[in-house]
Amino acid sequence: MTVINEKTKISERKKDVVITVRNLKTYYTILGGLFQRKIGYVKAVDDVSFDLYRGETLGLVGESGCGKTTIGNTILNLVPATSGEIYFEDDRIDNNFTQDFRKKIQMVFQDPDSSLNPRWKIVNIIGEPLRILEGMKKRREIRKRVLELLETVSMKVEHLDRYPHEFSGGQKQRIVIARALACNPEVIILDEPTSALDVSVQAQILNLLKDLQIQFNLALLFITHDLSVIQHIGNRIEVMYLGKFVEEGTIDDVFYHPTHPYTKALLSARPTFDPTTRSNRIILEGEVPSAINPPSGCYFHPRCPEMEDRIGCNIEEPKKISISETHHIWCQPFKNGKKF
Amino acid sequence: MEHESLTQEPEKKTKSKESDNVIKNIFSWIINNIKFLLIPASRLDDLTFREREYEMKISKRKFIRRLKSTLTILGISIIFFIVTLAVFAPWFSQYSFEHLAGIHTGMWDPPSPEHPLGQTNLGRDILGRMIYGSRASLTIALPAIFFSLVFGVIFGVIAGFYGGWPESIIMRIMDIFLAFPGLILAMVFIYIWEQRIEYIMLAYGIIGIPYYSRLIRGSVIQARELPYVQAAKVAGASNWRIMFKHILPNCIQPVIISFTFDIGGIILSLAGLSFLGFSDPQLIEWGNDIAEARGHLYDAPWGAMWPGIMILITVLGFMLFGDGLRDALDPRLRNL
Repeated sequence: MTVINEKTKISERKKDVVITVRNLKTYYTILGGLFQRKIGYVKAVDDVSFDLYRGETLGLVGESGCGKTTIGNTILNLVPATSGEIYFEDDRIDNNFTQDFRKKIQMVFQDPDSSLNPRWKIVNIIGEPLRILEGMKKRREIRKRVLELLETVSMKVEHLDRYPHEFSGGQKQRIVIARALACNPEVIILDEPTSALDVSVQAQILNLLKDLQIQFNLALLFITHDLSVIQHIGNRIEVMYLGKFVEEGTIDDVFYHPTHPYTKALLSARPTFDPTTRSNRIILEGEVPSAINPPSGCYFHPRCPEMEDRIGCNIEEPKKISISETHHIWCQPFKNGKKF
Repeated sequence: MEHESLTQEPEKKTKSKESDNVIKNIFSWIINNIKFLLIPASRLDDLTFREREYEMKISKRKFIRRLKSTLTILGISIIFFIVTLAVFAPWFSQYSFEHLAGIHTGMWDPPSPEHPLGQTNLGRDILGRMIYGSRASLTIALPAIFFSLVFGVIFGVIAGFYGGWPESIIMRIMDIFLAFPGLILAMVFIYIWEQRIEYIMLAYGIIGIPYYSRLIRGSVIQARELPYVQAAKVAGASNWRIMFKHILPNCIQPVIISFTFDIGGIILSLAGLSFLGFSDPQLIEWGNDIAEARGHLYDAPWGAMWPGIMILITVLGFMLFGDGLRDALDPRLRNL
């Protein structure tokens, strides 16, 4: 009976979930000493769970070095997961990543300049996943499909036989997006796709991504440190600090009712048009602790401005506190029983 | 029996049909390729006139057009000249191989109507030996260098890409080879085996491997961390494909340059070997002649000069060709 119950539970939960991540941990080993022994771990991603729904954009924000990119790389199996589970629909993929899943999950990299092989023509670059994953053999077929893909990212037939160095940054990023779209994926992981571009081109690329998302019903995992970008394109957002989530919720939840002290500080630090709001800035003290030897309890407590109001910040692991159905934070309860 | 024959017949028919199909496929493939080479835009059906024009300008033939710079053509024609000399040596030379390897009168005689470029210490015709010498130099230098190039590149790419223990094993073996001076190692190899042209070739091929593998390993280590390698992984490419289709074309430049330089080096070190008596004495070879004429630079300069000029021209030809090839392979250099 319990088995059946669980099964129904999973099918209910995963009705429109594409990717499920449960208790994911990715540690990088540090080698050192005389014989290159393991002397420690960098806890790049530490116990992270989330769901990615079909057709939504999930933003993953945080400062540099907090493990955002590692989550993306782990989902794509570019980096092995230390423990935890990753599911694509109902299939576990973290230990068994076959070519079928490569078709379904694709990635757009941060630097369009170096993510295109300088020696290859655009046809071959975009045609590579077609050749390997779809098994297309005929050159004419591949050219036709590549042309279709280029047209979806509003480029033209004469770009087929050019080399990457002949394009501008925005065009290169379009090519990278076209390559990601080649096998009709269901999920695209975008690893800071706009950070290498100027603002006007950023807007073009973001609008292109929005259109493509509607056209192909894509789920986007948008990794970025630019809060205004995610406010423009995202549906939900996960805020990360040192390998752990600190707050998750919809865009409205997080941007208009930030609850976790770190999110508050992060949001106050972004540039605004109104100079009078500058007085509300929360300035965090100290540096980000090292992920090799993180602090006890909550990783954020040495820098937390609200530590005095809470119970057991430096002793206990933070608890998941739900504020509304979609809005959660990982924090400690208040001393005087005040509610969030 | 009848049943068997009945069941066998259709199989035969299908087989013959399949073989017909294979032949047809091969033919259509060849015809398609010829069409593609001769009619640039033939592969695209749905092009407008302007697009077709553009396609005509930038097509696959670009690579051949890129080789059309003056210096590259000079290099290619020099190589062609040397190869022609080697292949048609009996037609160009008025003396036969036996005559040129024999002993005659006229020690270090100056140029004369019978011997337009003079004679060597044993009265051999220098012009004839120059022409025949291109055979030995090319047949030893090119296979040897291709041997070391192919194996050096394969080992270097594997070591650089995988890292860890495969790298340690491969590179330590290469270090052992590097620990010996090349000439001495070649002498050891030739002493162990035989004084035959094949073994001299093989010895030089083995000596060249560590240089190429070290050269390419460094650039592979740099290239393997680049995002386009990760992108290829995301596109489902196998390790083999990443190594030899993504990384290798981006790392091959220094190898091409050192390849063209090394041809001259091998011709010269062959001279060193023959000077020490570790070469086939019957071999007609430029380096051999230079080594012999070394002591007579003042009284018989023609003895060393003409073979030296031949070596110079050969090396120059390969270097110019290598330069052009490198430029043609690099799409980032425009205006060619």
